Amino acid sequence: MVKVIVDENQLLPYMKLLKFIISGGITFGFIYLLSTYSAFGIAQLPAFGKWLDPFGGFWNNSRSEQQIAKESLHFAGLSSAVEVVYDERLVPHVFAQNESDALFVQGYLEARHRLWQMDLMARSAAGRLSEVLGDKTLEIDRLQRRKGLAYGAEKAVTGWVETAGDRMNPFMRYVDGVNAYIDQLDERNMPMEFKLLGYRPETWTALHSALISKSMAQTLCSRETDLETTNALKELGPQIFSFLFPEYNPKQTPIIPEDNMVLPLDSMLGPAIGSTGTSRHRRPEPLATEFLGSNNWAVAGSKTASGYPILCNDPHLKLTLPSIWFEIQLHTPEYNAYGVSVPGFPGIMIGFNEHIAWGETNGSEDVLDWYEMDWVDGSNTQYHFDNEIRTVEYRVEEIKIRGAETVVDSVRYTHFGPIVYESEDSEEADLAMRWIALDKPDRFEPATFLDLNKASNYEEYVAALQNYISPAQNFVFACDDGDIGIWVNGRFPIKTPGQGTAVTLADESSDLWTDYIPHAELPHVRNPQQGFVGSANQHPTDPGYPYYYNGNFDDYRGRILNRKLSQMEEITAEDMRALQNYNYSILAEEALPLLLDHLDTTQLTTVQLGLVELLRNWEYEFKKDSKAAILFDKWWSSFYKRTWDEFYKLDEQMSIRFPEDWRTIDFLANYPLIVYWDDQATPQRETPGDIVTLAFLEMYDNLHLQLEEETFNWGIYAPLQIEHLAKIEAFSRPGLATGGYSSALNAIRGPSGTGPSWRMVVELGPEVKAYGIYPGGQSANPGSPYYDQMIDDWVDGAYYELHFLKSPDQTDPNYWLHQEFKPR
Amino acid sequence: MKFLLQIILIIGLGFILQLFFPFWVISIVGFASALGFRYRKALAPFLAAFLGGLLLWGGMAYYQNLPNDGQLAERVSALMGFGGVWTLIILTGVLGGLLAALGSLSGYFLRDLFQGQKKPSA
Repeated sequence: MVKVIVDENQLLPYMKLLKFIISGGITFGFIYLLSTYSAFGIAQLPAFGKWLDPFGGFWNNSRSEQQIAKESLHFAGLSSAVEVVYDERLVPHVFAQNESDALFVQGYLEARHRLWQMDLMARSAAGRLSEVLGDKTLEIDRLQRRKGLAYGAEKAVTGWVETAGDRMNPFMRYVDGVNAYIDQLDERNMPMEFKLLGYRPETWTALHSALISKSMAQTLCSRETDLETTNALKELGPQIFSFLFPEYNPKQTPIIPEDNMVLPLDSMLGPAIGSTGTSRHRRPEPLATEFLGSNNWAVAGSKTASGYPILCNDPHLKLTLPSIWFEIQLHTPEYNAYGVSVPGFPGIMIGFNEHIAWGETNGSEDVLDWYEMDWVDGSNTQYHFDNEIRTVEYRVEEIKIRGAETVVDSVRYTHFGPIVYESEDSEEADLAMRWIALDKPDRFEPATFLDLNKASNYEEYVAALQNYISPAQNFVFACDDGDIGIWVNGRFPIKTPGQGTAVTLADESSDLWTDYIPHAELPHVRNPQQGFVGSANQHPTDPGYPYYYNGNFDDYRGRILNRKLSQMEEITAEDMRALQNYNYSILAEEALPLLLDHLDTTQLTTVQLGLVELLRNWEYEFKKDSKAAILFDKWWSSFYKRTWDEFYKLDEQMSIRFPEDWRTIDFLANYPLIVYWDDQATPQRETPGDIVTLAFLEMYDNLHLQLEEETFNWGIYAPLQIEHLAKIEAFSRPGLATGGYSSALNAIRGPSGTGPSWRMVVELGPEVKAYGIYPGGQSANPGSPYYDQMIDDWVDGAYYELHFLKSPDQTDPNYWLHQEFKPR
Repeated sequence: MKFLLQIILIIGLGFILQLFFPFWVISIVGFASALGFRYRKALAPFLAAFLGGLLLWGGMAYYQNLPNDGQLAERVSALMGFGGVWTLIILTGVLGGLLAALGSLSGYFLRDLFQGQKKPSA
């Protein structure tokens, strides 16, 4: 046995060294962990040291708007000094000496208040979310790449540069302005979303702005039901299909009023559809939401109290925080414009100047068609076309993923467009997408809004519209000289009747889009007899219009709009604000009496009869405090589902088109014997009355417990959530009790989070009086009082009078900040 | 006395350096400050630096929080899954305290390494 004797004093220095090394190691390790994004492999965990650092982390963003006052700004990109005044809602009023400087400052300010939103919108369009969000967004990115939005944006920039001439210069000053803000950012003063997600904004380019425009196009003009229609046609056969899906509701009131409206019988028989593919189709993504839409209208001086036109616009979009819109005034010696813009794109999109006002609603014409490829062999790279064989071209998409290997996807491009939907088994076919938004523009599209900002009469309005291609919009117009007008504006392919309603076999040149409707022949009207113009995403024309078009058109908002405007006289801005907030639904007006007629009241209890009485006394308004609105909504949706149970069954196997509401009402009124009334799950054969009564009882079963509560009403039943763009609950505003319905002018749809994203009423005249509000706030910073400043007033249906300033010299303390941008 | 002095040193030096350097500079401040004082045991420099870092980070967080009435901190604390501005301020302070304390502890051990022989036996 050996006894080791160790001298403690000899060991001591090593012990101490060890202590120092361990302690130092722990310190470094701790710092490393606190600097690492997604530490421990926990996805999207912020780097806590950077994030919580009170000098540079999120705490530093508590001071954002207060810092503005201290900023002294000098930029090489400016040609002369620009003054900015902020009002009490953080709306910047920009006073510049020329358009280029005004747009430079617009770019700077939009980046200043909304940079992360701009970054996200461009990224999402380009299919580059995974670069910053990791692999959970890979499939979203992949689909975006296949749809070719980045490809379309690249083409757009090329087309704009080729056609812009010297107009590209002001456009690029906007881009420079965005970068002037980005360039001065460091870790500390970055918008907090970048801190949270741990990445830096990249340099803004014209391509980014083009991506913003493609993102809008995707939201607004990629709506179609080609796959669903194809399947419905195959399941039902052409005759039943035409019976169930007529293209035109005869009660519809189109955008362009016709004194002698003739309804050709053909339109009621539905479209003649050409060579549809042979396969069944399953859409690999949800269908674009049907709750996006908009209202706009202008009333002539003959119908207003002031004698001057009033113009109104409320675009219905997904409501988010930060909002899609940024409010701004741009003043130069040449023009003075006020309104809202989409951050990332120069100019004011919806607004007014000293002479005119303009606004847009979505044109629902179908400008996206699907083609089934006729492949030569199993390699799926060559296809038959007009007795020849063509080969696809590849575009290699590198999807970078944060924390993972880059994924490479080769997208096949045919001469129709990219193969977006790939078949996973032989039952389905590869589908190529032909979409107007991927074409190289032959016009400088951004000129549309830049020119509208300075237009002062009808001719200049029309000239501005001619530069516009997509997304197609109904541009409403009013001028202080008395003119009003509306133009269904954008590029529409000339189609043969039925073309593009279903998936087409891509084997012949006759399937191609070859020409477009000339701008002058697009539906439009100036100063019609009725004294107003307006649109609410309904059919632009009656079926007498010589060019064929198709799409998903709203039936009810357009009708209530035309009904109300034709009744109203001596109109004031206040009347118009009330109309934008009008909760009346023609769907309810037409459906409810029929439902009540068919209801078998002998089966009902006293309590249930009380509900029937409540419904009988209801005036079809989806007011916040209404109880009957809940009963109707639930009854109707239950009735619809029971009626079209056959379709819900088909929907489990394939993507299928569902009959429209107006047609369903039509069947209830006029077709008591059709087979669809039968509930397939039961042995007996149901009548419409059976279905209506069953639906009522189902509604009662689902609701009766809540109905006993005194406070239970429509606002509580269908609350609106305005979500943060990153779906961060803590930054969202849930549970907003509002009135509104998708078929009412106040088209708030709580469950889908959609509704009027900007309400504007402009009364023209010697002094323009304008009112507006949007459900959000000017600042994207959740720590700012301007983050959600307007939401509560918006919920109440209130408006702000817009400060249309003539000079930056304001003594009113509400203009709390003067800021100067000077050339360097 | 040196305990208090180290706290003041960390707050003062830390404040100035944090205006220019990333968050981890508070660890360096803790480290450097510990070199300047002679402690018998590791606990005191650890605690002093912890308190210094806590007061600096917590105090700064509180100050940053003032101009917007805690609106941002309220939302961020909800985002991080716990309630309350004060929890967030304290968490921030504790983090700053730990960063300073770990640096200070390392500084103490380094000094101890070279001064070991002269150190009075306990």
